[in-house]
Amino acid sequence: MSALACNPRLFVALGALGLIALVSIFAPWIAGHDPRVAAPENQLLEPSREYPFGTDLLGRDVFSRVVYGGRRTLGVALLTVVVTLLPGIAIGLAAGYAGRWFDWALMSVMDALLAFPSLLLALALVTVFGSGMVQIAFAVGIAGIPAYARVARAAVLEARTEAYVDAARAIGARPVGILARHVVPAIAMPLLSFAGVTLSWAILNSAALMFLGYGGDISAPDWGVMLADGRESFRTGPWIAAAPGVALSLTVFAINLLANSVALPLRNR
Amino acid sequence: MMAYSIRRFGSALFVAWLAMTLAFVALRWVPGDAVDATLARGGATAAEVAARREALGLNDPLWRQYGEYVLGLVQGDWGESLVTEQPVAEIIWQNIGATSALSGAALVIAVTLGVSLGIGASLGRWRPIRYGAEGLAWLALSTPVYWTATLAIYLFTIVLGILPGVGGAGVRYLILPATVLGFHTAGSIAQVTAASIRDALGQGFVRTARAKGLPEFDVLDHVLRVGMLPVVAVVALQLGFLLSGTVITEIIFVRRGLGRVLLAAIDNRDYPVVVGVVVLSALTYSAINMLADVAYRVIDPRVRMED
Amino acid sequence: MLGTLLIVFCLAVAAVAVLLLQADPDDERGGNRIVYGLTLEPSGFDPHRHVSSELGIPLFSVYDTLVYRHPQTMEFVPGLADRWEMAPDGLSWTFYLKQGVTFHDGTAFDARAVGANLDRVMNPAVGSAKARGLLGPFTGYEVIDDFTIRFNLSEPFSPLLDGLSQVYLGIASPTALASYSNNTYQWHQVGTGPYRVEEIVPGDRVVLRRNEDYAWGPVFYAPVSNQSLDTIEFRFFTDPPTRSLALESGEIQMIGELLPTDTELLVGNPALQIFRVPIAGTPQQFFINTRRAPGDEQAFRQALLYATNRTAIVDAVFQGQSPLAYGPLTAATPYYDPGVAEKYPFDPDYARGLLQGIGYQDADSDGILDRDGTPLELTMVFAPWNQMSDVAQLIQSQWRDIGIDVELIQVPDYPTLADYAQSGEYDLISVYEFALDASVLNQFYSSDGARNWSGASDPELDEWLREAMRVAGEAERAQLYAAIQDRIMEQALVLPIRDYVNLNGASARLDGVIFSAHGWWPLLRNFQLTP
Repeated sequence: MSALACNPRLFVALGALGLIALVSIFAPWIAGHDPRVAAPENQLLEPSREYPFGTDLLGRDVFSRVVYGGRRTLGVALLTVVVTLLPGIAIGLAAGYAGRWFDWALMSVMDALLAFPSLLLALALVTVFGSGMVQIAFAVGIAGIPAYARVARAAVLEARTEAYVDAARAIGARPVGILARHVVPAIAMPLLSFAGVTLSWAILNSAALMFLGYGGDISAPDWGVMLADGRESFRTGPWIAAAPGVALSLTVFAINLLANSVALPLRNR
Repeated sequence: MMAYSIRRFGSALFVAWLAMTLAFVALRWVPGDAVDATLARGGATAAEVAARREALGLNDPLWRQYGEYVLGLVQGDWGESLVTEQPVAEIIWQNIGATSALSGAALVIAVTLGVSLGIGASLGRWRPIRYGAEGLAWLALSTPVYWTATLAIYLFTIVLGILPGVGGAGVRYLILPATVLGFHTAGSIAQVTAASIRDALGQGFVRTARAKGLPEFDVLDHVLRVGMLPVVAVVALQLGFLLSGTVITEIIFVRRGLGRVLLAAIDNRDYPVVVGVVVLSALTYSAINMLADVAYRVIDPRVRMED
Repeated sequence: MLGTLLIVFCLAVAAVAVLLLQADPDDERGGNRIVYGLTLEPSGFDPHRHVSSELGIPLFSVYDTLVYRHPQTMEFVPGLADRWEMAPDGLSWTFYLKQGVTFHDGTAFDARAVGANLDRVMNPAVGSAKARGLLGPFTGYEVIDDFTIRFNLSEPFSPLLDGLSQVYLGIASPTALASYSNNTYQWHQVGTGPYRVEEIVPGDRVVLRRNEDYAWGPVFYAPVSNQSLDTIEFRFFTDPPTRSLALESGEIQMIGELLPTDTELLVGNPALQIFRVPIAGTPQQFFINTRRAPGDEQAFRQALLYATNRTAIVDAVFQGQSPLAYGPLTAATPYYDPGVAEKYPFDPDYARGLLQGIGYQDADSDGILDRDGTPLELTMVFAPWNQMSDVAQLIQSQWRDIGIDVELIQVPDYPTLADYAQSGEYDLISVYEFALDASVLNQFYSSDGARNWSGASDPELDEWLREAMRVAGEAERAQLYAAIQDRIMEQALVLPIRDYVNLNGASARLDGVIFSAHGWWPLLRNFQLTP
C-alpha cells in the first residue's frame, strides 16, 4: 500500500483503469439507451441532456455506445495482448539466452512472420473461423509476436552481458534459475513498457483492420469502429468520433502509465 | 567474418522462403481466386470461368503451383499478375520509389521526434518538459492514423490552406503524409527510449560514475549508449512496418505505394503479386535486422554476437 | 554516443533527400487541365475485358461506339455507324459506317476494324465477360464492303443497340490490338474518341489529352472552344471522406460518389457545384434466398418487405438524396413499371400478421419470434460499398422491432461475396448492377442466370425474360417487362432499398457538365473550363 502512496503514477493509472473497467462492467446501468437501437429520425443530434454525446448517423446514442464499446475494445485488446505477450516473451527469452542455432532458427521464423502482412493473416483467419473480433484479436496478436520477441531478445542480449550473469554461471547455477532470478527482472522494464505499447497497437491495429473491411459484427459498439465511421460525419457531427476517440486515448494513456509505473520500482529493487 | 556473412545471407534466404511459403499457402487457402475477382464478377458463363482458371493453372494441385512458382523465382522470374499480366517485378519497381520516399521521410521524422521525446520524458530537467514529452508520445500512440490523417488534411489543406491537398505527386505532397505517419511511429520509439533510459539510469554504474566525479556528459553518453539497444530494435521493427506497406496512409493521401498494391492484390487473390511483395518484405526485414545487429555491436561492444 | 547518433541521423536525412529528388515533378504543361477523381481502382482497364463502370469514366471519351444513346432523349443516334437496319426476322443487323474516321494512331477506321474488335471480344482467350454478354446471341459477322458490316444472331436480340452504345464495346484500333498482347493492350489504348490516352499508370493515374483531329462525334457532342479541356488527369480516391476534402481544397476539379452528408455540406459552397445523376439498372437491394427456410415461403418474404421502412433508410443514410426503390429496376431505367410502387408500403403490423399466419409466435417472450422452438434468425451478407453497412444496421434495427434477429456479415471484397453466394449460406445477400437495358434482370432472375442469388425458378418468368430480349417492339417489351416486374415483386424475390444516385461534385469553373445516358460516364468533350 505504501507503494501506492510513493507512486502517484500508479495511483492515477489504477484509478483511471478502474473507472474504465467499472463503467464497462456496469454499462447496462450507466448507459441511458440501448446502443444498438437505431432511431434515424434522431440522427446527428448535438450533445444534450438526453444524449450526452449526441447521436450518430443512425440516431443511436453515442454515450451509450461509448459505454458499451469499452467492453469490446478492451476485451479484444486484452486478448490480443495475451496472444502476443506470452509466446513473444517465451520466444525472445529462449532465443536471446540460448543463442546459437536455436536463436537463429527462432528469429528466422519470427522474421518470416513479420514480413507476412497482417492483412493476409486476418483474411485467412476470418475465412476459416468467420468474421469476428476474436479472429481479429488473434490476427493482430499473432502479427505482434515477432515484434515482442525481438524486443525481448534485445533486452536479454543486453542483460546477458551483466557481470552477475557470468558470475552465476561460473558458480554453476542452472540456466532456468539464472533466467528467473536475474535476467527476468532486468528485462522487465523495457518489456513492460513495450507491453503498454503493444496494447495500444492492439487496439489501433484492430481498428485499422476494421477500417479496411475485415471486421465482424459491425453493429456492435466498438471504439475503433465508431472512430472509423465517425470520419464520415466528422464535419456534421464531430462528437461521433470525438467521444470514442477520447475514451480510446484515455485508456491507452492509463495503460501506458500503469506499465511505466509498475516497471520502475521493479527495477530498483 | 566471412562465415558469419554467409550465414546471415543464408538466413535471409531462409526467412524469405518461409514467408513466401506462408503467403502462398494462406492465399490459396482463402476462398475465391483471381478468376472470381475479375471474370465471374462480369457475369461470365461458368464455362469461360472454368477455362480461364485452367489456363492460369489455378486448378493444378497446390504443390505443383508452388513448385512452378519457386522454380521461376530462382531463375529471377517473379511471375506476372494474374489480373493484368504485368510482370510482378515491374509492379514492384514502379511502386517502390513512392513507398521508400514515404517510409524514409516518416522514419527520419519518427526517430528524430521519438528519440527527442523519449529523452525529454526521461532526462528532462523541468517537469513541464517531462510531462509534455510523455503526453505527446501518448497522443501519438493512442490515436489511429486514419483519424489524425483526416483531421490533418482538413486542417492544413482547407482551414489553413498552407499545404496542397491530397492526390498530387512531388515533394510538397509528401510533407503531410510523412509527418502524420512519422508522428505515430514516434510514439512507440519515444516510449521505449524513455523506458530504456530510465532503466539505464537506475543501474549501478551510474551512481559509481557520478560518485567518482565523471562529467555528467560522459555519464549521459554511457546511459544513452546502453539505453539504445532496445530502441534500435524498435526502430528496426518500425522501418520494417513502414516499408511493408503503409496502406492506410496511402489510401487516405491518395499516394501510390506497395501497401495499396498489396491490398488490391489480396482483394483480387492475385497471388504472384502478394507473394512477390511478401518476399521483398522478408528480404528487406533481413537486411534491416543485419544493420540492426551491426548497430548493436557498434553501440555496445559488450554484446556478444553469435559465432 | 551522441556523436554517433548525429552522424547516423545526417546520413539518414541525406538518403531521404536523394529519394525525394526522384519524386515525380509536377506536370506544368499549359492549357486547360483538370484533375478528376475516380473512386475505385478497377482490377483492369481494358473495356473489352473488365467490368467496372468506373473505367468508363475516362475511357468513354477515348473510344467511339457504333451507336450512341442521346443523354436526354435516350434515343439511339449515329456514332461510328451512320445508320443501321435490322432484318425482318431479327437475325441480322447491318451497319453502315462513317467514312473519314481515323484512330489516334493514324489507322483508318473501316468495317474490318470493327470486325477485329468483334473477334477480340468473342475470343475466349481474351476472357471478355461484360462485353461478350452485351452481344448476346451473336454468332458472327460479315464484312460486306469497306464501310458495311453485318452482325448475325442466332435469335432476335433487342438489347443489341444498347450494348453497342456502351464503352465496353468501344472500337479500338486493330493495329494497336495486334501490337500488344491481350493483357498489355490496356496500357496502350487507342480509339477514335475526342481524347487520347497519354498514359495509364496502374494504381496511380490515367492521363488523357485532347484529340485535335476529332471531327465525327455524335450530335450531342459540343464543338471545341478555347475553353475545352486539353488534359484530364484521373487519380484514385478510394477513401470516401477524403473526396470532399480534395474537392474543397481545389486539388481536384471533379469527383463522383460523394458521401451524402458531405454533399449537403458542399451545396452551400460557391466555389463548387453538385450534380445528382440517377443511374439506371437495379437498385441497391438484397436478394432473398428462396432455396432455404424460411426464405422459401412467399408470405415470409413478403413480410420482410412490409417490415422495412425504406423512407427512414433513405432519409437517414442517404440524406433523402435518392428516390426509394420499389422494384427490381430503378425508376430511371426504360421499361420501369411505376406499378411496383404500390406494393409493399411500410406496414409493420401487417408484417407481424403475415408472420403469425405462418406460425411464428414469441413463445418464450424474449422479443424474438420463433416457430417449433426455433428462433427466427436471419443471416444478411453484404459488402461495404455505397453505405450498405449503414443500411444493413438500420434494417437490423427495424426488423428487431418485428421480432426478427438478424446477423450481419460484412465481407471485404467481391470474391468473398461471390463465395457466400455459391455456398448458399445466407438468407439475404446484396448485389446490384447498373444498365440501361432492362435485360439486366436476366442474370439475376432467370433460373439459369449467372447471378441468380435468390434462387428464382419460375418457368413463366424465364419465358418472359427470354421473350423480352427477342421482341423488338417497344410496346411489346414494355408489356413483358411490366409483367416481369410484377411477378418478381409478387414473389418477393428481392428487397429493393433505393435507386442509385451518383453524387458528383465539381468546381464551379466547369461548365457544360453532362453525363452519358447510362449516367456514369461524363461527356468530357462538352466540358468547358472557365477562368
